[in-house]
Amino acid sequence: MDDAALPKQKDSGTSPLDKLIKVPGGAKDAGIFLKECRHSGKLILRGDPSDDLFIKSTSKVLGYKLPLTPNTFLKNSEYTSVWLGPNEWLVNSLPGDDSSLENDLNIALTDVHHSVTNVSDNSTIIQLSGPNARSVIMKGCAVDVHPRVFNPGDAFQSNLAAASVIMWQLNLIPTFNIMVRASFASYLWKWLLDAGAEFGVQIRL
Amino acid sequence: MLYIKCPWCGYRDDAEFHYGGEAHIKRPFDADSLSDEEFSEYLFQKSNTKGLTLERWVHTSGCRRWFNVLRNTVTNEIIEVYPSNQLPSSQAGKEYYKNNWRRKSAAESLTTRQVEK
Amino acid sequence: MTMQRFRLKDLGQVDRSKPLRFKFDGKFYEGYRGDTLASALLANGVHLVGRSFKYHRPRGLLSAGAEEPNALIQVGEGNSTDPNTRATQMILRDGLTVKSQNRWPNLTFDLGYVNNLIHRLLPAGFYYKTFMWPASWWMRYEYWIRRAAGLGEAPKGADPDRYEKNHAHCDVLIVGSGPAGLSAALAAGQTGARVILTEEQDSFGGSLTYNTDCTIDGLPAFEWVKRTVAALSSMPEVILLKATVTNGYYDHNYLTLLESTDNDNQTGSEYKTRQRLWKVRAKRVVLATGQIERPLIFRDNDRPGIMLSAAMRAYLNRYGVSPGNRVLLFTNNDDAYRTAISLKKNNVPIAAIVDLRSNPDGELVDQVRSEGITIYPGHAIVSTAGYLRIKSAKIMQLSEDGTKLIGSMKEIRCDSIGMSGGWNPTVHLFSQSGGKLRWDEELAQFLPKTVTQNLVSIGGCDGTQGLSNCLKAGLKAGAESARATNNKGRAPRLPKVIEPKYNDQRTIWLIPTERANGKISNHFVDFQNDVTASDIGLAAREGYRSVEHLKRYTTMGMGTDQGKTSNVAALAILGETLGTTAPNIGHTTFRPPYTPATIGAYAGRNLGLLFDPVRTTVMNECHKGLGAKFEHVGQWMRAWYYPKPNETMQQAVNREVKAARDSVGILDASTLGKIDIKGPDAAEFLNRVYTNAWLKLAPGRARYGLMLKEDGMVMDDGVTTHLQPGHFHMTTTTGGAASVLEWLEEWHQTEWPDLKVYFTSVTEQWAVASICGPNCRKLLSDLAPDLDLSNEEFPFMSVKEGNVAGITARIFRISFTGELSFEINVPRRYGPKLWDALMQKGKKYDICPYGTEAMHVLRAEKGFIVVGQETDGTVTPYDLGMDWIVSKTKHDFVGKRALKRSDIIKNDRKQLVGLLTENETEVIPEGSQVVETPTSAPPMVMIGHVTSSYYSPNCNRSIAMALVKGGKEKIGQTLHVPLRNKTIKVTVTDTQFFDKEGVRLDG
Repeated sequence: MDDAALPKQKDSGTSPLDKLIKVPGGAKDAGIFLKECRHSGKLILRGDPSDDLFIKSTSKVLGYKLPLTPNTFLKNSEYTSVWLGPNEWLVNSLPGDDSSLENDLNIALTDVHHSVTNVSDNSTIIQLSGPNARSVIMKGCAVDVHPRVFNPGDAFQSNLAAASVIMWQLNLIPTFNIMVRASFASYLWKWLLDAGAEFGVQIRL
Repeated sequence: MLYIKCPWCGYRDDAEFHYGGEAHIKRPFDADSLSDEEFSEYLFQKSNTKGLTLERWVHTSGCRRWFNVLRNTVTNEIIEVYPSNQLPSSQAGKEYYKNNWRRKSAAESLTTRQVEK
Repeated sequence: MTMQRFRLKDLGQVDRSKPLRFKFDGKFYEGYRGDTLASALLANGVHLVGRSFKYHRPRGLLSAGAEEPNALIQVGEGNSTDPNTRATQMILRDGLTVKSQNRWPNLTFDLGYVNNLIHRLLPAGFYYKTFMWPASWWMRYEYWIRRAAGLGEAPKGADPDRYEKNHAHCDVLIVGSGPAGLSAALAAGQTGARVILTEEQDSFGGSLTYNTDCTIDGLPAFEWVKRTVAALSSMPEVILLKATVTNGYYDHNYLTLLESTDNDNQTGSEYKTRQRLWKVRAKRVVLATGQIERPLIFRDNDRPGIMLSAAMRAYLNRYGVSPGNRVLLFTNNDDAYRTAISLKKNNVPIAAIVDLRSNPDGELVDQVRSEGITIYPGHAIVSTAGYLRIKSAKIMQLSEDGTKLIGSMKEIRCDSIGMSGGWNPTVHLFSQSGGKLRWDEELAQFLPKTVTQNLVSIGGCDGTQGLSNCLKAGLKAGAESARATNNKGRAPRLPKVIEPKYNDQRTIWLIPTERANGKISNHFVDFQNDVTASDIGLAAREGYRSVEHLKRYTTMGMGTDQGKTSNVAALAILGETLGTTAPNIGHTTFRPPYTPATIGAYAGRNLGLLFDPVRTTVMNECHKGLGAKFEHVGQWMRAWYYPKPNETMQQAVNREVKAARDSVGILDASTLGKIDIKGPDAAEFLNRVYTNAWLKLAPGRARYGLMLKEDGMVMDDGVTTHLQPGHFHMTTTTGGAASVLEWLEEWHQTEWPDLKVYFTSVTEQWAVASICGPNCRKLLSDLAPDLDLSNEEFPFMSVKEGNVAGITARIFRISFTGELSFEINVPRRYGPKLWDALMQKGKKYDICPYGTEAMHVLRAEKGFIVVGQETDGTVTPYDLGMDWIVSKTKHDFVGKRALKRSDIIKNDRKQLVGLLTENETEVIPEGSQVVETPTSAPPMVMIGHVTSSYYSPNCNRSIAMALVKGGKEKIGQTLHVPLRNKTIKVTVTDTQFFDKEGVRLDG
């Protein structure tokens, strides 16, 4: 497989979309931009938010209190924490930071019933942005993403086309991070290219 | 397509949910002491009402939480939703729950006896 | 090209600077942008557009909208072709090619017309009655009947056009852009509410596009429409959708809209969309769907040139098309007078107005009188003449009660007839929503009654009459709906309206016949299905008194128009025949779609590669490189077998199966479900969901488990490993990955929330290479020199973490082949690296990659079950002979009590056994039935079926497993497997075919 064009870490292994994303490029006046966030760290954190010690201990490690409002996320420069359920969060970190974070959380939560599971490889994140990003999402997702109800800081889990996804909005461009299971990534990537075709698609690294 | 209000995630299309059948079927703790007939009431007999019904759903494509719904099977109107460890709070839901034949079933009275101990 | 002879000067809304060329039945015509195909055909004087369904009678345009029953045309050519399109809804575009349907050899000379000449021999139910014998011939009859009664043709190949879907949400969805809908949109839109307004036609305004005799706030009505649409367009949260049929109303205000985007306005693009299916979730719905005019039911009321009165006005005022050179109007209300005034104004000659009412009066009537137009009050058309186009009509006076004709007959020459039998509110969507209808005796209409969803019906579809009233209802509903969905604002003031006033109508459902014998004939009720009033009478006489039976017996209302113009009259006539009224008859169910839709619109872009996700493992490229053939396992594509050049599948599988037992085999086992289980109560939880004991499983050790449903039937199986205290790694079947996780969550959340345990899916976190065979320990040792892999240090059913080929791995010593085996799990990203390293190092042991087929043979040789193959939801662990895995001492586990049910402990349940064929090379087809006593032909008593069957190269013979009634007691007996051409003799055995002592597990 010729992927010399990809600026990879040494021996970083295979990412789900490596085979599909070889050469960046596409329409100059594109309506949507797509990229894969390769190998970003992903942990599933479970614990009881009504337990003060759980909240305090996780805050110490993350630098902020876990989001308790359903379908929102919070972030700082290192970690993005997405609410997934009343006792479940996704903690997204930079590539390579997941093992130490996993360790730190486990140590901080030694005396608290919890679980931290590394799922960095279980799924990947496709970043979709651009003026027509919302229109593309609306083609395959029944959740309302209108700016009156969905904005930066908001997140949801639902289906996009035939893939189950976790999605969160980063900014007003708008930019959406779409987390999808590894084996559905190439399907979803092709679907996004097809759905975005009428607006013009630019692929970024 | 139903629009179901997950107690956590809010309104979502029914495609995001899986149906879990009748709600508030208590699992007999000491099922060995039930006769086959009594046990089959727990295992096989479902209320399947025309009109109001209490049922279970799980938000499969979302937060993966189980919860209960009071729905009218004729109009599909959803009267209330509440977490699975709770009882209905609407008047109609309370009445349906109280008057359900299951409250008098052997399997359920067994559960109650166990709890009383 | 012919001239547009019937296009009137300076009238209507078509764009005369944009001429469009189109082809109808091979002949070129010209129309304008803004035309429908129907209006363009009429502009060219083409009234004859189709042949009727059963009798092949020549038919013309009846309407100007979605209700059109006659003008069904075939649009486009090749694979783009679309049958049964209503010419009245087909937006004209340049280069359009269309043809008429259901005629042969052509429209003006159609051999099928012979059916009309013998129509008395073809009454309702004719086909059912005639072609009953012999029953086996029905398929042959049906072929010819369907050929004769054809609609359009479906394309042969794939539809080349692009169809999109779009999910949308809004506060208020307004269906229909007539006066009520438009004013509702205005009132709701100006509050800032999220509004979607849909219009089935290509331009907004509904009746205001052709009722030019009204003014609103001093503006001509259509000017008001344009101003209102412009105002709505400037509102950022208002979506205006024209050429969009709201075709389905489902639960909880979920509606589907089908938008046609294929007009020539679209800029050329390879991604040009033909249609877009909108799936809308509306907080509130405003139905402003208006009304559909009713035809009058008189003899030969179906000739080309006979159309609805308001449709005539629409062609005239909206499209600037004259309906003919001598127009006769026939009415039971004031609508035809309105049409007459419009015709007169544009100098279209009017023959007369025939009015069922004895004393028509009021302002419209007075105006017509003052224009000098002849009126025949208390008269009816009793018959018409003209084959391919109406030529004349005969009229007679009606008796006082309207049931008889009196006086002499008079013939009136005409080339078109505009008729009005009153109006039917368009309640289809309301009814689809679950709403119930009531019959209004005074208006003779079905109107909305019980509302079950968050909607309001306004304007014509709610029985409201008059422009001013509709505007008022619209403003009120728009403002209220916006407020109800948390928007603030007040309704705009009601504009000043000048409009003509209508007086009462006289409802006579069936116009009497002039024929001496009094028999009615050719009084068409359902134009599309050729159902006449006499067919309805016949059905009633033969006992089809329920409206649903009437529909099926006569096919009334079953066409593509779903009886939009015919249903109510049919009900009323059935009622009169039975001596009751329409409300007592009831009405048939209204079902989506409101108008026919292209299948492509529902398929959308879910085509080809996007039809269904294809899931592959991270080692997929490795398998491709090895020349693997793949098979679907659910959505997964798994390597099936790896043929060498010139090898058959059987040869390849035999080689792989041998290699896995002789040296080393390697399998990609990544697709197995994997669940990470953590918490102090994890073991207790496992103890409750598996049938066997889990509390004493030491860290580092693994155990096979069987999960049952509460009814005692096997649901899933797999190996679960205790990694560290309170931390387990569960594996599930490939197909059970998602459902098992949901199952665990269900029990935890709803039954045992007190247990401290968490579950997380890690199915795709790990890439898994499973190696097996006597040399696999040596191979692993080569790649993991630091690990002690001896049986003592690393026994069967245990786990180790360590470095394999430089990758941190979890190695499980578990086996699905009965061989010494290691399942090496590494983070997914390193899957190919692991695979390649094993293949490279394995060369010296002649490592052989094996696929799912060989895996199945290997496990079957050992009698290992596959859930979903040996089980089907009716199989208990006892049936599988797996009593050993069911704990006798545990207080509880899911399914425990059910296993004691009297039916479960019966001896004659189907039990899993082995089958050995008499002829060792013969492999029984899987799924075959097993019998005790074969006979020469079915039926035979079937006592079981074959669940797994393979050729086993290690046993040098075929092997099979089967579920057989009382199978355990039949071991040693001979049974039979009857096939189409032969019967295979088998001996019942146990299910262990190879290495019965299990000595190979330790290598």
